[in-house]
Amino acid sequence: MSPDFDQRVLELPHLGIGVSTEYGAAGSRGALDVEALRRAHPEFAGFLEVGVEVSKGLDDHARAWCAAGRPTTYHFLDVNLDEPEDLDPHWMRAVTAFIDQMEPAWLCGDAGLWHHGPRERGHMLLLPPILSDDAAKEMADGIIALREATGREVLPENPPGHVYVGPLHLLDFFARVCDLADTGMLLDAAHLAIFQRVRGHAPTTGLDGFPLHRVVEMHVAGATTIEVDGLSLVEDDHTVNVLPDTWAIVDHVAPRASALRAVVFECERNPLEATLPGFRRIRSALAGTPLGAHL
Amino acid sequence: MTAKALQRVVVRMLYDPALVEAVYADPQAALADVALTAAERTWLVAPDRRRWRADPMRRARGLQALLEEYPVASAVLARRAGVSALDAFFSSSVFHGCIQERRSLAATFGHWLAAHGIPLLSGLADIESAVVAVRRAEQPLIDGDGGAGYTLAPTVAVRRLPGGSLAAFADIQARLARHPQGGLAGVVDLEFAIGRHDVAIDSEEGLIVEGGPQMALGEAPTSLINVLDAARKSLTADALSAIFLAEGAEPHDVNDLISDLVADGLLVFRPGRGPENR
Repeated sequence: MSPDFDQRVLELPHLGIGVSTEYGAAGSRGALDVEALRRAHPEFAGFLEVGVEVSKGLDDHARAWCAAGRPTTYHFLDVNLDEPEDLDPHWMRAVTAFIDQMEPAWLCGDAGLWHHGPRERGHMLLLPPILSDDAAKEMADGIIALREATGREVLPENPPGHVYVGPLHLLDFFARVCDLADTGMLLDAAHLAIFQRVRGHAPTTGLDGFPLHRVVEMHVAGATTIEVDGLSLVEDDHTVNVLPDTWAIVDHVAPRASALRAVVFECERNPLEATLPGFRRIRSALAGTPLGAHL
Repeated sequence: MTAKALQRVVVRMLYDPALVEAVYADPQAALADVALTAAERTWLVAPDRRRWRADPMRRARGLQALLEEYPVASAVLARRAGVSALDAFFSSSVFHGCIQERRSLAATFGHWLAAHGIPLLSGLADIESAVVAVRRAEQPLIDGDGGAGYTLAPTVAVRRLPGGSLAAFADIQARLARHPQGGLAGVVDLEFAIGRHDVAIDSEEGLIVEGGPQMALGEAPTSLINVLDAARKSLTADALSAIFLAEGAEPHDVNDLISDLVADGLLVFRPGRGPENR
């Protein structure tokens, strides 16, 4: 593996527009039928991003997709990248086995706290990292360790959250992580939109100083506004109701992300017909962009 | 380490509104037990404090996961002190220490239940904590130093319990299973009778929990429990024999007893490089 991200990224395939899944999602009532999407609109099912918790594995739908040799990415759901003890031999063996089965183009996933304490049932949650310099260093060390252990790119994703602690802007934090780990990134536009609202920023604040050439993958998803004690909060619930803030981020990033390889519309629990406007809007955003040339 | 310590405080605040109030009132006093800088403490109180309550069901989900692990002991505590007594775990110093020190929540909940000073509750919590330990035994449960010798099998846990604990456990477990909405609903349905039970604090009984495809709980003599408990640390053949003898075994039976425990899968022999085990 080349030591230089700018060289390594040239080896990554252009996956186009795809969909995500996790164990059991495809079998739930009203869920997206990925096979039907692929038959009717193959341009929106260029790859499957498989959310993997090693204790659960792959469901039948994901296994069938992999067995057919179709493109995938491996989205981890169970590792705290900033905790060296989380890359334990048991977990690493399982990850290696899933990589062999899936042949993913890369690994990716929220770079936050997936579980408190040891990895065991009842400990699951997902929190954003502490937005500080030393947290960025620890996160970068974990990304390098996992990349070297698997031989695959490991793209950190900005997680969602209601509470962000630390002095850095989320984009400044991940710019540091990307630089220290010399890695690409999965930019979740919906999660970023949430952060910007929490901190009272405009949707695209900070993007002008962010190394957008590091963005290899983007996520787009719907969200719902809720109220807690009179405070308006945005819930990242993967509906098809994509916020205007999220589209503003997508429209800003897509033309500038020279290494963009893939965009996921996270809509796994919605019926196919309801998802099509979102897919079409993504395709429209990618028109004339570096990735758009490969669609 | 500072960022990790801070992240763990964040987890504690998300579970415990009382801690949120204390931190916002006086961060230094509320977090005196955590090595944070003054700047880091100010980061914690920068968000609108209502954001810490964004997920009002977090604590209920956490409690549900723990009740699934400890249904019988939890049912007893709920009937003695109310369901709120179970929820209080998330505001206890035990919970906060568990999160701050990166320990297992389920194991900690078991210790917390057992420490209520109620012998019946202690016995039941010990039974369920043994099951919890075996269920998580991807790694050996032993504290061995990696040396050669005999050790407790990786998926076996043993406990000494107050007399009558196993009978009470079996009875309450069976009653909960008959709850119309399922056992978990029975735990917190205080109108649902689970019977009256007591244990004898002046007598002991032994428990062996064996993992594998089918979890098995069995009663055993406390002398055997003492031997197996000692084997949580790797023991040479001589050391293991000495423990058997101390527990009253006849000298001519010891080798056969050791062989039987290995054959039954309760002990494993790990060959080592030491001359005594070549």
